[in-house]
Amino acid sequence: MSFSTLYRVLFKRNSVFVGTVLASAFVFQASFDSAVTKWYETHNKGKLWKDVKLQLQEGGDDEDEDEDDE
Amino acid sequence: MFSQVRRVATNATTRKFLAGGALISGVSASAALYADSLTAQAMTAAEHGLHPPAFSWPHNGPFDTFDHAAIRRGYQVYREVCAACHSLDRIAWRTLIGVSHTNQEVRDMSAEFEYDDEPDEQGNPKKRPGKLADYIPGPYPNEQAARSANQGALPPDLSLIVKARHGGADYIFSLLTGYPEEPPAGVVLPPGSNYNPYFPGGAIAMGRVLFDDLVEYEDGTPATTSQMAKDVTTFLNWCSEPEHDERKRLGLKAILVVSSLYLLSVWVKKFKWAAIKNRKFVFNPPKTKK
Amino acid sequence: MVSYVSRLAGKTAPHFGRITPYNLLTYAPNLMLWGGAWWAGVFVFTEAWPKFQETFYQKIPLFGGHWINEIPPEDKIN
Repeated sequence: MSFSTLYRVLFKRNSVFVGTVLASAFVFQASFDSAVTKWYETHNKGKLWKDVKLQLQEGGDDEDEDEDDE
Repeated sequence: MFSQVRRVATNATTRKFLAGGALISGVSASAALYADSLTAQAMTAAEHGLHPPAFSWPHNGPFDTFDHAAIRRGYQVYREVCAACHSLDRIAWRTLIGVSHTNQEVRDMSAEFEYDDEPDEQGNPKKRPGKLADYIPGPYPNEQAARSANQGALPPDLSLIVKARHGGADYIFSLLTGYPEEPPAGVVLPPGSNYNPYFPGGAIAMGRVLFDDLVEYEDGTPATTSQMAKDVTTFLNWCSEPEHDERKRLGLKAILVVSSLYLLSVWVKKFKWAAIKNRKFVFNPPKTKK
Repeated sequence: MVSYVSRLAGKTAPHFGRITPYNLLTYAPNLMLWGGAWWAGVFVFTEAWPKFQETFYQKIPLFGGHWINEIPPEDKIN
């Protein structure tokens, strides 16, 4: 998409421009939060309460937990 | 200036003098530091306590959460060991839910304690079992009771202890595991106190409390001294910073947004200034008539 | 007699301030677009508001799952 098309479709009318900015802000803030949370929970997998709870429910007698990091 | 220094240093006597001075000051500084470490007088190294090493906690990184399994085990250590002397006044039962225990587990734990209830119709005080909204009760009713039970020493409240001590979690862990078998020769301790190099002054009223297999973990983790110290320190760190996990998540979001806006602003600046920076002014003087 | 028009005969078109039906009609498409932009603004600033999340945003097809935050019953505080 060339810049002139972009200009004609989005930037020419201020109402369309402002509306596009706000609508994409709405979509962005939700999807950005989802994406960051997803990465954060993958990065910390096994340490979060929801993972710990599952381990405890499975019967926590497995001793191969990596807690020896002093 | 540098050439002057070089000229002075070329003089053989001056060079010897400088080397001798450096040697003397190095040796005397080492001797002074060593002498300083032998006593625990005011303003000495021993008075400030040994600096704890930096441990690699699972929550050290800027994007790393607490190890919630450790928080859960740490609560068990607090309950079975620390809670005999130390209170945890600022932690409400409800805050443990979704962090280290389920709703029902916390209900059962809180119901094991008695709290003051409304008086009955004759005005007699009544007791009721604890609820989720209650705060975790301490071992003593007031400071005087705590002091009289501990030979005058007051066990500090542990709610904010990790934030309240230099070195934070590293210090707490070092203190708990740092009790030697015997105090070093020449150390004189006041009656009723124990030697711990990490404690400022070296004489701490709390004795060593964590020994191997003191508690039995439900998840089968071997309860070594250092394991228990690590778990209870993680728990106390959570008590001090219950917002920790969410704070790091929001920090990650803020860093991503702010740094991309910064890069964008750099690009916009370069874009806008490109025409100005690349302009070339040429002056063509008018041809002079002969 | 011939009756002469001795002055300009003008009549006032219906108006509200500077708005007349004619220019309102001309502005209508643009005003509608501004209405859309305004709605997008309302969406942005009520995004974190639980009442709005429950009433509207959770019902957005495909994308609505983001606002559904299910806490397992054993982890709820009450």
